[in-house]
Amino acid sequence: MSDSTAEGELDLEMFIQGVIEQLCQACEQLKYKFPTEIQAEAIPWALQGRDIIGLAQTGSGKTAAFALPILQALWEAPQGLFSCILAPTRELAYQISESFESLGSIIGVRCAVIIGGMDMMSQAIALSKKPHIIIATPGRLHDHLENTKGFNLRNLKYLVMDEADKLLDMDFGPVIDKILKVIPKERHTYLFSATMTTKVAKLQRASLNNPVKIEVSSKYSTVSTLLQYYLFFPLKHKDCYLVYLCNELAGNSLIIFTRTCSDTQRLALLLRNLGFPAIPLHGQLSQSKRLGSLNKFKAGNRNILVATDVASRGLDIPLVDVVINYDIPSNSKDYIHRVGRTARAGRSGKSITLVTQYDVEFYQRIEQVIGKQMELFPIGSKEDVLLLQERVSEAQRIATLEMKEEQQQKKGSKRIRSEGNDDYKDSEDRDLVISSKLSKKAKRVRR
Amino acid sequence: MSNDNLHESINDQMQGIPYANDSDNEEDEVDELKIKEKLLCSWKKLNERNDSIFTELQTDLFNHFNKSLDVLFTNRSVENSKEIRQIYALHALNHIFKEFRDQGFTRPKVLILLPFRNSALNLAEIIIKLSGAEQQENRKRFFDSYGISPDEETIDLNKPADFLETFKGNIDDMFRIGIKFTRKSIKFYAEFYNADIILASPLGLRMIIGNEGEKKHDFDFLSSIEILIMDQCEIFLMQNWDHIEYIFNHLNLIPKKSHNCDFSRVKNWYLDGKAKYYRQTIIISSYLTPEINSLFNKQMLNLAGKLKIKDKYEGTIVDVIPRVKQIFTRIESSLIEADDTRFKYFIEKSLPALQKLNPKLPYTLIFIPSYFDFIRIRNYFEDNDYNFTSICEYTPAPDVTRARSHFLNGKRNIMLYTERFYFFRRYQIRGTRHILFYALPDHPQFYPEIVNFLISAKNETDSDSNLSCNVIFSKFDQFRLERIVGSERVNRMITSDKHMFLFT
Repeated sequence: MSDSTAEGELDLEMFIQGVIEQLCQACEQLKYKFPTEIQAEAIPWALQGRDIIGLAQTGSGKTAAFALPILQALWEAPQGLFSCILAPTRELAYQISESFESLGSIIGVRCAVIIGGMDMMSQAIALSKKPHIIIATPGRLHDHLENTKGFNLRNLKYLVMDEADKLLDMDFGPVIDKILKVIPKERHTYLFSATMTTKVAKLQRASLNNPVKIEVSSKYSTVSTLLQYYLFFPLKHKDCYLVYLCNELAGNSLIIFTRTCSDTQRLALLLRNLGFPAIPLHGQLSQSKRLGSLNKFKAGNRNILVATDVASRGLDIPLVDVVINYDIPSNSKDYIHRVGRTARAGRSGKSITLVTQYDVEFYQRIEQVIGKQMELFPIGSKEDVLLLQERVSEAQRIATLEMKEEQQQKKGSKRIRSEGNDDYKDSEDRDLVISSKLSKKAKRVRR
Repeated sequence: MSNDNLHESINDQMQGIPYANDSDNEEDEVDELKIKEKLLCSWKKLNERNDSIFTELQTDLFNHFNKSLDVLFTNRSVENSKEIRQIYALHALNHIFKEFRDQGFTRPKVLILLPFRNSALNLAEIIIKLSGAEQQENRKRFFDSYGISPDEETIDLNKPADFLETFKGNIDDMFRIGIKFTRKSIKFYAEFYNADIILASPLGLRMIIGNEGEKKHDFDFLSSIEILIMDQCEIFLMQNWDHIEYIFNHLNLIPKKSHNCDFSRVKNWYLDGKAKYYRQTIIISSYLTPEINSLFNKQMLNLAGKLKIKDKYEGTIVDVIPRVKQIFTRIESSLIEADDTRFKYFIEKSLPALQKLNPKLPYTLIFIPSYFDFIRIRNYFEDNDYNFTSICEYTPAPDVTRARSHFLNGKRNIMLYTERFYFFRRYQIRGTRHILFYALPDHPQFYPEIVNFLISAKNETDSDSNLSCNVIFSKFDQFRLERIVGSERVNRMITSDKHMFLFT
């Protein structure tokens, strides 16, 4: 017992000065031994009450960097609807709420996640219970601010925008402006992002008060524990090479990034046909499916996640060993976000970028931005790879068939549904007619 | 009947409750009840009593109501029905007129279930008077559709008083209406989400709730009911008890839509989905049945506590007029086998015993409370070629007339007769000389009324020996038996080693 307290004290010292004991205890339970760079830089300023712009790559402990000071301020002056965290994606919102709940479990913090695709009524009830922390996507939060009677953020003390540049990229700009209008000017504001655009600079003017800008590493960079490789081959063998890689890396957890939703779906099917436990994650899936996919992957039931850039930002999946860029990202910032899924929090990881004859220009641009030369990923001879071609072709064919069927089903069901909708309308009209007849009749009867 | 007994039993529990008769302290005591002044004023006008503000029964009930207790009152009668209706109306309005800072999800706070439109009309008259409203919106429409014109009234005034009380007026059992109060007006036919009180029949409310999967499946307006009152509860058993259970299962749930509710004012227990523990349920019934008892045990969950008020019974058997031996026979069985055991006893013992005297069973009335038992016996008689006829609640009117005349003139020997039919029609079956109660009726007054069918036969036959009355009962009929033979005898009849009991 005394040992552990001694150790605890050591950890406390190791941790940032000024953080209260309850939160240090929580950090200890979560096995945070020492603060990350961004935490060490940001928390002291935050505790002094300054606004913060934090630039740090994903996986660097950003969430705790803003969660700890907010929780501490909450502990000192508890109130409902104390802080609001805005995030661009629903998954990220869930993830932030998990961090808040685990860090704040000892002080009994109550969080509510307010995101699209979920039931408004149960969210309205959750909000009316006045949770301390709201983690929201901007669209749904604005919806509640407009439509849920009795809910407002007039006493908000802390506003955080995570992945702040994306919040602007994704046309959230106008909604965010509206939200900013209905929350108090007297508040603390934190902006966090891995990358910074000029638009955030605008936002900075709009809503920050004398902020401290903290930048823990150069603008576009990747962590040193990340081994970055490339593979160069003709386009027609792309699937074959991917399958070969999956086979070579079997047992590791992989994320494969593609450019389009349909590629994601197709590759997942293809890999499944060859017996790889792959699951897709993209924006065309329903919210529950998205969460389901992510959870299966997190739990390790399936260790290959095929995803679009939906999954490239902010998500903390601790187990990813390898990131494969099936399509080369056209935007070098996206590359940084994608490979940021691995080699997080001091661990090592690999990224492999597939390069075809058409991608050379993009590839060179990326190398320039990260200021590093990637190495060729060591594989066997070309013949070894092409041995797989026959089976891959077969699987491709099946996958394409399955995709077609699915689409037809979707169309079919859509058609049925839309017809159903027509029916619905018709029957509603009919009902109206009937009911008006009925009411006439009823009147007659009454007379 | 025996209100005195009732008051004794309440007195025991309610020491120190102010009594209306002590006129000195009356004002103070009424003050303590915290009734809104306006209401109290119109109450005094309404009941036109000189001696005191409340009757004794009203004082008792209102004290319980006012403490937010759940109350199951099982001694409603023709005599006290009016004062009970007045006092719960007062309680309901007093609850609505209180100014609440916090609220529920939706506006309706009080739900009153009544069996027929005539009861709703009667209650509405009391509510109008109590509210003292200057304006009454949709009044005419309401009175037109809930009352009937005098020439439409076809009820036979020679029927028993309780029948007249229940069935006089508009007996449509499909209705629901929202009533909304504003400062000076009362509005009938208010939209449910703008209404303060909902009056409904179980069927009417069941229909508006709808079924799962239907387009109109809405029960959000029941989410914030704070007081539920069921008056004439025993009649719901004669209608369709399923509706009652369905309604209870849809009460006080978290709504599906917000209906423009101000969430910052919603009480916490509503948000937590605990509203059912804060609902006051008041059940007014003429008697207690296992079904009502089950509501009391399972659905009345009020944290403030609950109270069951049950009178001691003298027994209606004293009202039997003809001198006839009434033989009560107890059968033993487990609850699961109760129905089968009774049927078996009926076929193997009761029928053969009757047949010993009259092999063809002429002029024999078999009274069957349950429709299911009725079907079972009817089928048995059909299969075994008995000479019989039958009347149940689904029998068309011409067939009823034919059955009665065939029975009277001896063309048909046996008559099967159900309680529900008798409840809705109260037809005497003339020509009856032998009666077999397959089970006792729930309505205690039905027992003597049916045994009294024998009066007309007595004049035709020369001696009493040609008349008989047999009753089959089991320990599960305790409530029914108690009301008929009286509270003093019931325990002995249920527990004694003897199985046969004779009344003359």
